[in-house]
Amino acid sequence: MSDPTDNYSDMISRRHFVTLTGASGAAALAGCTDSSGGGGGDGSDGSDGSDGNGGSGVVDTTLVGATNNGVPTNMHVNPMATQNYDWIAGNHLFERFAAYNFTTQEFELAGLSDWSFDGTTVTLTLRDDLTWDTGDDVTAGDVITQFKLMQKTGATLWDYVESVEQGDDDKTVVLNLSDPTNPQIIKHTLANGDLRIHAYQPVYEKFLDQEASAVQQFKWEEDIHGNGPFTFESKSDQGWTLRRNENFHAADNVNFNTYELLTRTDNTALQQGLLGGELDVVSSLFTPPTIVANFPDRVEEVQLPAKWGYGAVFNHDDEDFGKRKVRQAIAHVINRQQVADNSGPRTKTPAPKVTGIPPEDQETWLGDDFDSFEGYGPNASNTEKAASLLREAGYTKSDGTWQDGDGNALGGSYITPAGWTDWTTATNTVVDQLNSFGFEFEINSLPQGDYFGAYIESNFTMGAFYWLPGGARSSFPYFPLRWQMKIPDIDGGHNFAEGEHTVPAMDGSGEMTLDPLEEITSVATSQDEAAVEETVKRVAWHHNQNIPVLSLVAKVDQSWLTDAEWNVAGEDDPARGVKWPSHWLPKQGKLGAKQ
Amino acid sequence: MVNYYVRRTARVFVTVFLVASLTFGLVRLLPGGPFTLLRAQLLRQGVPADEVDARIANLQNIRPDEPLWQQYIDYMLALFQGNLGESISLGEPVVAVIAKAAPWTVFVVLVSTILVFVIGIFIGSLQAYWEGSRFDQLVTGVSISLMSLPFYVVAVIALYIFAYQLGWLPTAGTVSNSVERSLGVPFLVSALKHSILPIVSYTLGAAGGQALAMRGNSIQVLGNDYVQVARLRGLSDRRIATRYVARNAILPMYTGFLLLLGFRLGGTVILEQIFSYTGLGYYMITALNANDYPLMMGTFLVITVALVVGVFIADLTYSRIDPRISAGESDEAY
Repeated sequence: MSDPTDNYSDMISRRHFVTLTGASGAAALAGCTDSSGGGGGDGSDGSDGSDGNGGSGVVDTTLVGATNNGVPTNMHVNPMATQNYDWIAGNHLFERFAAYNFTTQEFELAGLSDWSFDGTTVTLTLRDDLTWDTGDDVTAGDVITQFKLMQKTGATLWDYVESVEQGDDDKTVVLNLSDPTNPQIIKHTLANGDLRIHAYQPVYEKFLDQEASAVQQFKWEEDIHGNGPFTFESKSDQGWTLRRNENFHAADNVNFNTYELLTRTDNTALQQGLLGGELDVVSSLFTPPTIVANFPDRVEEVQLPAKWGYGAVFNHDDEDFGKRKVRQAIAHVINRQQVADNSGPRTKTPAPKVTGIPPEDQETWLGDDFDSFEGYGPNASNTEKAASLLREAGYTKSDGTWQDGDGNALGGSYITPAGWTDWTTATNTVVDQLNSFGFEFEINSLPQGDYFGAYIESNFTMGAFYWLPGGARSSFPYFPLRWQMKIPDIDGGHNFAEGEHTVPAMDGSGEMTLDPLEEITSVATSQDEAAVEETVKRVAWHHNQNIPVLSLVAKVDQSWLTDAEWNVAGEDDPARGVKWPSHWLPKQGKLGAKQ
Repeated sequence: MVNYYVRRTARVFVTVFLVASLTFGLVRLLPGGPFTLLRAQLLRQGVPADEVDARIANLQNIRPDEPLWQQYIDYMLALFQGNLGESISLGEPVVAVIAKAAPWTVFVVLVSTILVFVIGIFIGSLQAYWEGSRFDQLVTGVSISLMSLPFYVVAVIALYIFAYQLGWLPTAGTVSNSVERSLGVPFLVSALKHSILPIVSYTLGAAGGQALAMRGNSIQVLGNDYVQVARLRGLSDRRIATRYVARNAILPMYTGFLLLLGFRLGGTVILEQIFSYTGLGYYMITALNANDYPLMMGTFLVITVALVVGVFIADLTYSRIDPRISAGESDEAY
């Protein structure tokens, strides 16, 4: 679980320790005896970037990664743009506020040296040594400009924030919240991997007086200045070329001078790139076991919980699938273990309980009540139970097919995205299991745009859909439990009814009525941990019984490093737990060039 | 004669007009709208639904909500002025995107097609010359095998062996990222290295087919009376082979060359995906995936116009090569 404290001095110490050990570790690994050991050592002053020609111990070599976001000549680095922001390049150019470590399950501060929460006030303190690549300080003004533009463009942060202002000095930013807000929510929002400190005032200030569309259509391709470990040098139709940023606060940790991101359009090209030694790192890439087995020894896999995975979504307005008993019957029929085994035995695990909490967090949050949650047979098809539920719901089985009172077969079109190979296998397994039981589904494989379009327009009965929003925020159940009811990704196209729902009581006696959306929303403004835990259990129980979305399997993200020419943090190093290792480790001094 | 050229030229304009109209119609018959994918992407990024609508409204590139006839007139008028519109997904003029991509595709297709014919004519002539020999039988077998192997299979195998296993050639792209984009030796060498695999895989099977065609043509010509007469006149084998046989055997292949050039532009859609080669085919797939109407129409149009122009050039020049056309003995060049 995430660190519940508001004071992050312990994390700061840890970060300083990481910086210190990272710098010295990389130097030691690289044999850099002449490296100045003190750079960034205590974190109070950090690196000053004074070693003009690239710093001592910097190896003239290139770390080669890849981007599959598009051809760089068509891409840019304005994260606020509606289209064509290459976030992989952006991640190297811009420092983040904070990060969530999936291994330690704690937040780690990055561009911030402190964050504090006091009622309706959040105070963010920027690192003293956080500068733009020009050498100028990153100031409160830059961050305030960014937050104001985020308000203009409707960013999620402004669901909680009412206003933003400068604090006591130009390194302090104060967020005034509309209501007291659970600090976890603000932390997850700020630590979101896509949120970077990017609004270089000389470039972004002019957008404050313009319509939102101006910044949304701005392509930042010239005069690019960042504050991350690398600076922009050039881009072509083949890739991005980034150079080590000497002004980066932890520049001493980066011991190589070039980071190249080559354009690779699909997974196969990325896999072949690792196989052939063309690529040194790939941030995230699904790779089936047969290909992993062929990778040479130099390729290292880092598995991180995706808190995302294959599930099924129902149209709750549908005559059949709007019925709870039908959804429960489907949950009973599907053998989740088999779905996981077929679609990715190395990378997929079945959800232990059907609810809106990621598998690895379920026992932590549900505690002693975990066993009382309905399991729906994670590794079996409970056909008898399912048949009984369908009969109770008014369906009969005739000629091997379940039918409603009018003789219509129970089933329909099962939507699945074309080209998501592991999902195709999962869909085949699910539909096969359901049809063997007596449903009559046919698979409807749609291109990505049409696939999402069908859900957005509620033009479906049932289909494959991820059951968690993904990313670090899914570890805080407020996000996934609420998400399952609203699914903003499809604009709530699954039509789950808001308001009160009655489900069997948790203790097995009678029933309980609750408004799950209202209850989980209360977590956002609660600072009482016990109350939060209790609410999470109640809403998770509701989801277990009412099944707004069917949880099936969760996957791990596969991130790739190579160690033939690079010193890489060891397998037990918790620094590998921040997404993505190929972005995070270089600036920690844990992914450096061998001399 | 003038009438022939006028009719041919008029036919080009009519064909281009029809192609443009057909492209406009077909693209709009595709399921889903141009912003479906973008809408889904923004929603997934956590942008609120209202904000998504506002953002899409802010994209003024095209107005898909206008009546179809209005869109059609706008499109044709713009096309007449050489304006293919602005790509929805890339936010750039389609002409600029095509201008960047087309040279790479034209380079690969042109070189490959020339090689197809040079190799095909050479091998086919030898086969005809040694008709029935073991060489002829062997080459015929190889040619048929290569013809039956789709070029994308050859491409994947070549990529695996020469790029990934042996590491002799680059795996993807048009030119190395580290090479400066200016006409110089490093740039040309890099571009050439990157194009070898696409060109070879696009050439092998087709060359086999052309060799067989050349063989057949040559054998047919060899049986003609004028060749017999030439032999009786005591002309040298060399003169008979080059002046009498080759010239007449190549003649039917000339129009095939220009037509194939146009047809093969379309085939690059698969080829460029395999080699991540950022040419026209690559952008066509990008446009299709994103339902990017203007870019889709632009790339379709360029490819089909290339074919029409190929036919047109063949028509105009064929009469120069084959006097029977200009003498009005035949109306069709192909």
